[in-house]
Amino acid sequence: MKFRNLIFPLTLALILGGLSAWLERISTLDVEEVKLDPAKPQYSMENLSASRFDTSGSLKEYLIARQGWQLPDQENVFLQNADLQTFINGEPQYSVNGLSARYHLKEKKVYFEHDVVLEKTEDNQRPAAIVKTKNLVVDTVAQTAQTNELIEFTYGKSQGSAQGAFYDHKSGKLDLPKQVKALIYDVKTSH
Amino acid sequence: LESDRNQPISIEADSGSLDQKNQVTVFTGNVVIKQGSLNIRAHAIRVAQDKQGNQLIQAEGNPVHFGQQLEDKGYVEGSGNQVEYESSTGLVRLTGNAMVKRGGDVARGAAITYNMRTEVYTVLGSKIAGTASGTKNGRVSVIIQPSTVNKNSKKK
Repeated sequence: MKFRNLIFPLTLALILGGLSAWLERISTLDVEEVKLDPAKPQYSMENLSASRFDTSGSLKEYLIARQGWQLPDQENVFLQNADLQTFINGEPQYSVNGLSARYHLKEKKVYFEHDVVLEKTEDNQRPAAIVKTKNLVVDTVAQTAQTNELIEFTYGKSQGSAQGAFYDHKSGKLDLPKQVKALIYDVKTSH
Repeated sequence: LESDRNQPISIEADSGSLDQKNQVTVFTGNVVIKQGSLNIRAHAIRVAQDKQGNQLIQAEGNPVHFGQQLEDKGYVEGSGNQVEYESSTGLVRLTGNAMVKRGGDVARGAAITYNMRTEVYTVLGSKIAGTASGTKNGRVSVIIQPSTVNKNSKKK
């Protein structure tokens, strides 16, 4: 057998050997997860809007934000200039907007961290109501809203302020723990 | 004053709570309420409103103080450990060391009921009212100045 013939199978052997060595190399290689910079968003959205509908197909919630992003820690979704509007049977109920907000995915809490404005739309029974404060924590599961900051509220022509507030939507109770001041106009005649 | 009713109500307190479902508001701690010439100072005030919009205001204090300018009869002021006002009947009830003063006239007793519509006072001693009275023997004490004195005291 001529040596040349040997060359072919030899080359084949070498190639196969090389291939298996390479394959083996691959299989034993530790896939090293490249850590993303925790301070930099994993993804970011600009001018986002989101709608949610109730079982009858009517608009229930409508969220718009100039920017939204999530950090690699997967715990929070951050929103800039967020405005959440809620509806019942398509009728506007109230809106909550803040310069910056953070939604904690596990806790299901929204942390409005910079100048919050809650607005209750006027209806045929009640005048419009507006509540302003620096920051607010909304627990979407317990349906509560809480702040320790100064809050200022208007209700038709009536107005007032307090240091801190805790609102429980399920029981319909609002507690104002400190420094309550209010100027109340008769709602029937004044709005 | 008649015009008081149309004035806004100013409220200041250390803390407050609102129960929307039961339409009950409670203010606690150094509570000061003003409406026109009417002013009330108490430790705690509870305002309940029924479906027809009638209000029941209950104040507690050590004591509760209130005062109001009357249309043409000077200034009336009063105090009591508890003060209750029902908008549907126009009745103001003071209980516990109750006292009402207008010009030189003073009424003291365990309980005083004042009807804002008929301007009639009813003063009860502690035996009937069952609460403490500011008077020595628990009986009613009423001092009514002769009208001449009343006129002079109004001019001051």
